[in-house]
Amino acid sequence: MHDAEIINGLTNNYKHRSYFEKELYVQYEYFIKQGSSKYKLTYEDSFSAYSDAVLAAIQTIINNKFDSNYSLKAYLSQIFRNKCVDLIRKITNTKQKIHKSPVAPELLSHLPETAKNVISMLIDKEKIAHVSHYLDTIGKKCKEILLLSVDGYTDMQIADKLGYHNADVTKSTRLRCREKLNKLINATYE
Amino acid sequence: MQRMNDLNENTEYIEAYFKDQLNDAEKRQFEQRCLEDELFARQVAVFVTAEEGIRQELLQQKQQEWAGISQKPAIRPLKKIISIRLLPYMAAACLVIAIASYFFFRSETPNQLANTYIKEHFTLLSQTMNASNDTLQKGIAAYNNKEYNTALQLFQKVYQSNPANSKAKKNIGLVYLATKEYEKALQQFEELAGTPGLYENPGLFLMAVTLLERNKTGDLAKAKALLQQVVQQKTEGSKEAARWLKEWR
Repeated sequence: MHDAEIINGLTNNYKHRSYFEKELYVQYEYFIKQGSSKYKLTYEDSFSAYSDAVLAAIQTIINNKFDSNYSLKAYLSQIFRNKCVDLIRKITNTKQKIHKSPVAPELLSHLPETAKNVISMLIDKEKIAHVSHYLDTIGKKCKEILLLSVDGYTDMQIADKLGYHNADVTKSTRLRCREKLNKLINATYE
Repeated sequence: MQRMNDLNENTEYIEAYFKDQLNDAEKRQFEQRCLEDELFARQVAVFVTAEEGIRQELLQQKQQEWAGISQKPAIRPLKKIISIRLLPYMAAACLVIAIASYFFFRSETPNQLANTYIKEHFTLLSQTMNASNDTLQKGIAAYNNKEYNTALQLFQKVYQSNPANSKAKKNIGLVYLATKEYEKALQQFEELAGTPGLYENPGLFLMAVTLLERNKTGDLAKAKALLQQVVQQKTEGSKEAARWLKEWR
C-alpha cells in the first residue's frame, strides 16, 4: 500500500483507522527481524520497539504533524532505531540493577530543554507503571475514554464511538475521568 | 480541596499546551511557569505521568492486537524440551508431515490466491488524496459499508461528469466484482485497461483477478495470458502477477 493511502486512511475516516494501522504495522514488519539481528535484541524486544515506533508514527500522522518530505519507511525506521537504542539502555541498566528507567515519556519532547529538565526531575518513572493499575480502579468507561483520547481520537469521534450525546459531554466526562486519575497519581506524590 | 480544584482547572490548560493549542506567547508563559512555579511544575509532572501511563496501557492493547497478525517466527529453545533420544522419531514424523503437506497443501490454487487478494485489497477502499471530490469519497464510504448500489450510483455519477476519472471507472468495476457481476466487472476493467495516458493502470491486472475469481472453464488460461502481459508491460500489479505466475509453474 502506498504511503498516501495509509496516511489518508489514518486521517480521513476514523472508523476505518484500525484497518490502516494494521496495514502500516504489516508493511514494515520486517524491521522486527532487522532489529533482532542489528541490535541483538530478542524477537519479543524487537517487536516491542517496533510496535512502540508504529504507535508513535500513527500519533504523529493523526495529529497532522507528519512531515511529508519523509517517506513513511524512513520516518518509521528512524523512530524504530531510537526505540531500539532506548530499549538496549533499559536492558543494560536493568542488568546492572539501575532501577530508574532512562526511557523518557514521549510528551517531554514537547518542552524546551530547561523546562524538560525540571519536569523530568519531578517525574518518578516507577509511578508510570502504576497508572495501569489506577486505570482499572477509575471504572471501565473512564479507562476507555482516556485510552481513546490518548490514541488521538477527538471528543466528537469518542462521542460517536461510545454513544455520548455530543463532544461537549465527552469533554466534561473525559476531564472528570482525568481528574480521578490525577488524584490517584497525585496522592502518591504527597 | 482548593489545591485539588487548582489541579483540575490546570488539566485543560496543560493539555492545551501539549496539543499545540496555545499561541506562542501562551506557550512561553507556560514554559516559564514550569521553571518558576513549583506547584504548577508538579501538576505538569502528574499530567505527563498520567499521559505516559495511559500510552503504555494503549501500547499493550495494540501489541496484543498486532501480535495476532504478526509473522512471528516459531523459535523455541529446542534443547530444553526435546530429549536427544526422541530426535530420530521426531525427524521421521517431520518427514511424514512434510510429505503430506506437500501433497495436501502444495500451494493456494489460482482461485484462492485471487480470492485472498480481493479480500485483502478490496474489502475496504482507501480514500484518495483528492478530498474535494466529495461524490467519489461518498461512493468509497458507501462501498466500505457494503452499500454497493449506492456506491455504484455515486461512482457512475462521478464517471459521467468526468469520463477521464479512471478511479471512478476502477471503482465501478470493483463494485461489480464485489457483487459477483463478473461480466460487467470485466467490461469496466477492459475499458480501464484501454484508457491511454494513465500513470498507473491496473486494468489488465484486475481483469486477470476477476477471471481467476470467476474461475470458469478457460478463465485460468486467459488470466495467465493477461498476467504475463502485466509483467511484460510492467503495469500496476506486475509484482503480484510475477509472484503468482512463478507459483503456478
